[in-house]
Amino acid sequence: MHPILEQILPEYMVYWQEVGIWKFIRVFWYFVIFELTRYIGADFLVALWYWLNQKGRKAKWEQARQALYNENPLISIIIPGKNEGAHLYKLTKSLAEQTYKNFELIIVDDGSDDDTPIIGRDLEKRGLIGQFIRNEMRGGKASAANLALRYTKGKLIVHLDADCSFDCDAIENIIIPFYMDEKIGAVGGNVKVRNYRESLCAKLQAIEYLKTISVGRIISSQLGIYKIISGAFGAFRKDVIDSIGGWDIGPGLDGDITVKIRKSGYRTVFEPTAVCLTNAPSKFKKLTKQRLRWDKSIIRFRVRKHADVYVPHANFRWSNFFALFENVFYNVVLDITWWVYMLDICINFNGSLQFIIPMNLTLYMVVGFVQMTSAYIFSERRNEELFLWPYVPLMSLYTGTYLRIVRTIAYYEEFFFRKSYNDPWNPVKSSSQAKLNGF
Amino acid sequence: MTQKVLRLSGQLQLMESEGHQYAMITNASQLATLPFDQVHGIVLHSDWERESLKVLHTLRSSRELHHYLMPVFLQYPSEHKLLAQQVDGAWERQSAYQIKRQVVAIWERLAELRHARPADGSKESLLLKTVQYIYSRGQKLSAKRDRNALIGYTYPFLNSFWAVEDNLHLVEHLAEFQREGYLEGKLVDKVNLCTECDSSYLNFRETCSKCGSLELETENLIHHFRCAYVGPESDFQRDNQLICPKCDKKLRHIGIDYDKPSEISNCQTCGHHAQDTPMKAACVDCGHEMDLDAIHTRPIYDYTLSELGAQIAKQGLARHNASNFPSSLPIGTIGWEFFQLVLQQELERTKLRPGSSFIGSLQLNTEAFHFLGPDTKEQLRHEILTIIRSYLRAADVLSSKGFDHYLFILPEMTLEEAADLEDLLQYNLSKLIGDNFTDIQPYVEVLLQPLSTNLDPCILS
Repeated sequence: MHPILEQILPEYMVYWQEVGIWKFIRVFWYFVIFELTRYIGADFLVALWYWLNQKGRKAKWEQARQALYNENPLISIIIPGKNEGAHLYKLTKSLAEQTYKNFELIIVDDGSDDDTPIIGRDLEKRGLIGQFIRNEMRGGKASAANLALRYTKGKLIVHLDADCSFDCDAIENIIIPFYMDEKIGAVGGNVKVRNYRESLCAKLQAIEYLKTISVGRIISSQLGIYKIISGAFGAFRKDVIDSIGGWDIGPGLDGDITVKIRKSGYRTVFEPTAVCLTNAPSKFKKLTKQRLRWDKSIIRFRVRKHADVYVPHANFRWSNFFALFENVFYNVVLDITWWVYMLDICINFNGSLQFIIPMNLTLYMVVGFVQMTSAYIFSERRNEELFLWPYVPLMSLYTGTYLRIVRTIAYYEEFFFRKSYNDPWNPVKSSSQAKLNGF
Repeated sequence: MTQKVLRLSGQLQLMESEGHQYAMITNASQLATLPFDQVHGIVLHSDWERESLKVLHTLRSSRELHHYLMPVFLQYPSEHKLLAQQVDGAWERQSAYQIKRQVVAIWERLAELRHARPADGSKESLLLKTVQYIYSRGQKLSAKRDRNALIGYTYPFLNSFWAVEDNLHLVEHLAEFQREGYLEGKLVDKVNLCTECDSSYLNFRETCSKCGSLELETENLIHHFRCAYVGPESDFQRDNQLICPKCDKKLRHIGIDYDKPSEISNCQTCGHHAQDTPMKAACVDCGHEMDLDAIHTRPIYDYTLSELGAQIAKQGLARHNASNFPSSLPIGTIGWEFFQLVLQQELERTKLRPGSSFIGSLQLNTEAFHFLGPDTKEQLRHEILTIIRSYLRAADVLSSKGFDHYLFILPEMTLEEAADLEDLLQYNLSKLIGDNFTDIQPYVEVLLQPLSTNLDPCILS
């Protein structure tokens, strides 16, 4: 052992042995109250319940699958996007491999300024795309999705991002839940990171996706509070999505439409077996931009636009209340609380930081591995994902510090300055109208 | 116009104007009795345009230079576009002086041209007539728009003897002459032709990409900024106003409330919606429908003479071809026409000394050499002539009818000498050809026989 460690480690061990349980809880109150209860307690209880119900669920699944193939409905796959031409051919190849074949493919090019129109028209001519519709002027993602929706003929709509690829049964698996419960209005797919070998940034996101999407959403779905259907891979009932008027101006339109569907009385569920792979930002600069956009949308939509779910009214539903409350609480409230906790530690325990910080990291690392274990249990490609395990210790810095700082900046900017309306992700013409009308 | 009728011979009327004689022709049969050497031009004065066209066709199809390039005028201006374009002018519309000047200019140029008689319908004939016409008229050969022509264009002079229906080939030949350097072209148009019948009468229209239907309705797409709804204009139309179907708001101001980012076509037959409605062409003549990519496109040029073309016009093709190849043929090797004269002379001589001369022929099996181009054949001819010449005496006369047929007159030769020469030529030429053309099976046939009036026709044929 290193001489310094030889000197520090006994001192560190002795310190924590002498502290006692109550002081430990006092020091790590944030971790004990919020993190431990959520990720270890609630999650594992729900996961256990999910596991126990697997058999009954399997029988129901087979029955629904049979019903799907008996009806064999037309599915409309819509892909709105800008400058996505380079991905289109690969995407059509990926979709051609699907076990469910009765689908039409509609691609909307939202004012691309690259070769997308040429590629799209060519694929349309070759019959690989059903319809390629181009807006000469960019209108934003929501308008492109709505345009595609306008020309769909299918009973179910599957919304994809062009840079995704899919397991061969992904489309089948995302539409089967509609045949399990007629109150299901939308189903979210399981989005995983494809380029996780590319960079450390991508690896950390891959772990994050496994924990928050693959596992986190199984749990929220089981609890009936699943509140975000990923824009990268989500399925909707055509009649339901038509009745709510499609997508509204983003950013954060995928979360917004999920809430709208929930508010109209339908269930939204997550389907872990409908696996889609996407490319995550491989650089922290790009990731920061993406997360600032996503986090601002929590304030804009969950706190402001859909504030009515928190107050009693004729259509009030507890599930909607909890879905948004959980989201806002764990993101916004706990983010503020974390800063309070940091202040508390720095002011009241500033002499023991050399013992607290390593212990804090250790605790989060342990939780990280526990969460990875649950992701491992649920995953369909667990052996591949073993590659990510060595990077789990870094997650406490990634989610506990980096993402928290980004989140705080986003909340501050959106709460006080409504910065999401200035995001170039949407054209000014749309954002200015959304701001004017308070959307 | 000062003119007087000189002579009436049967139905043929000759007329003098400004010191020149013109034949007044009403039908093609009159051409048979026309004294071409006495007239400076022909005036078509038939009321029946079809007959006038027939006269022109007969005239321009002739192999005689002064017939096919004869100045021709129409008595009366014609409504018939092609006929009016095919003649040198309208008799009634031009002054006698103008006509005289025109005719004199043509005849002055005709006097510079060498009289050649290429085979009818041959490419050489077309080339010669083309360059000589351009030269004699001092004008360019202009393509004229003509919707009666299959490809939409005619070349009036050429189309007086070349069927208008076959103008695609005419255009291709002219393009070849241009490539070969006889003509200089100036692009005037590009015609799109049916892939089935070569007609240029095509109808272009948008079709449904799915079912091919023509019943398409195109609408603007409208994007309502406020709620992000996008749909066709008909979705928004309510009581003569634009109302958003999603949020029920009235669209007031384009650019502020909404915009029209693109258009979309709706097929009324199959209900397919698409922005890319492929343009297809349908041939009006044969009804064939085709993609635009498949259409044959041909350039149409106006032509003028290149320097080489002018040379061909004046000297004829034979001299030009000869000039392209080594002209230093061995002594005693002469052209075919001259050879025939020498042969006649030698025949006359052998009547006085029978059996003293031989005639020889050397023939190659033509079909084995079909893959050779004209230039290579000409080089081969030159080489074979040189070799044969090397075995002949200085007094022997050698000629060739082509790369595959050689004739030689061997005066004052004994039978033994002739037999030796026959063996020598047969062996050496067979070996030479065999060694040089290993991939084919050439054969050389050498035949020598005493020269007499009972000449074996095989030798000359």
